Amino acid sequence: MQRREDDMIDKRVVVVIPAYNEERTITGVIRGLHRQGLTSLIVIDDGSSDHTAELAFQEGAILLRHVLNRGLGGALGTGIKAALHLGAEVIVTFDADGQHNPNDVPRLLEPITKGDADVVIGSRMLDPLGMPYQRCVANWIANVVTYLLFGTWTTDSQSGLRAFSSQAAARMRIMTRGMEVSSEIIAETVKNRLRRQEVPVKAIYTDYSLSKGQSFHVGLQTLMRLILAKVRRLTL
Amino acid sequence: MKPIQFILLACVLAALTKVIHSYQQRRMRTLNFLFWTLLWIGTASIIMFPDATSFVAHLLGIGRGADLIIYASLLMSFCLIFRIHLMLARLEQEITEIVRAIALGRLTEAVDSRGGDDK
Repeated sequence: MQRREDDMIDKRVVVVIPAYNEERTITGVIRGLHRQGLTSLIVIDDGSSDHTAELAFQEGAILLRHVLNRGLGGALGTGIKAALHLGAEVIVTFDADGQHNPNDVPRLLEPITKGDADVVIGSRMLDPLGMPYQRCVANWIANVVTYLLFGTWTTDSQSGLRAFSSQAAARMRIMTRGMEVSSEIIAETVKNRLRRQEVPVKAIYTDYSLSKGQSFHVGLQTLMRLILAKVRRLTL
Repeated sequence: MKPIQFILLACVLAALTKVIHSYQQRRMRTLNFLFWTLLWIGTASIIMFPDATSFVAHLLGIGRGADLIIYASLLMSFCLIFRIHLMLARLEQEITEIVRAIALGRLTEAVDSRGGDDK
């Protein structure tokens, strides 16, 4: 049984890693995923001006490059399309800033491989011990906004660690291009009536990963874009 | 008519000419053409008959005609800004689609030329 699980990870799970100027962490992230037996990694270099692309290529990732920076949502959309094109059965999204623990990935895959869920969100808020309180508050606000706009409650609407069955990924329509994509994905699970589960994950907070997250200013921009995304959804 | 009315009317006429020209050149859709034509004709009417705004303002419970114009202008500006926001969002989406198509066009090449040891 364990062997079958290992085979499944090798051949069918594709990890999508959106990366923008992540030369400090990308090598470690890819190596960590390799250690988990995850070898099909797609790195979307989102118009980086540093050596992210070269390093990802050296580590054996499938490297796709955006000629212009399109933001997290744009990069995720490209990665998910590429993964589907390559015949992935399960697609995992994984941040490139080193905040996720690759050891959490198997736990994310389990509900999908068992057929219990279509989408699994790695929630940092189910066990928030060690999370900076500013992050806790910011995440909670984002959860409330997501609930008010899209009518569904999650404990971590901004988590970048997620897994989708290929059927679920194919049905989701990602329109936003920035960090608001995280809430949009949650909205899409509701719209497409996908079975969603959350599993606890531990984020690795470093000064670097904290600097890469949403600042107050970016948070406000994200809120504005989310409201526009909601209006577009209503008008389309 | 006062000199200011002539100046303003000339501006409106210039704008209206531009609208008609754009429509003739097929750079404007019919709905947009009708909207802008009506807007500029309405503006010209207000310039020529300013007292008419006072009449409408009284009907709506607003003190002065000038206030009505300010309120209406503000409302229209907000609507326009919102439209421009939506238009920009659509443009951004289209740029993303192009960038994505370029990236995905090289997918096969990216898979074949994968670096590292575990190709």
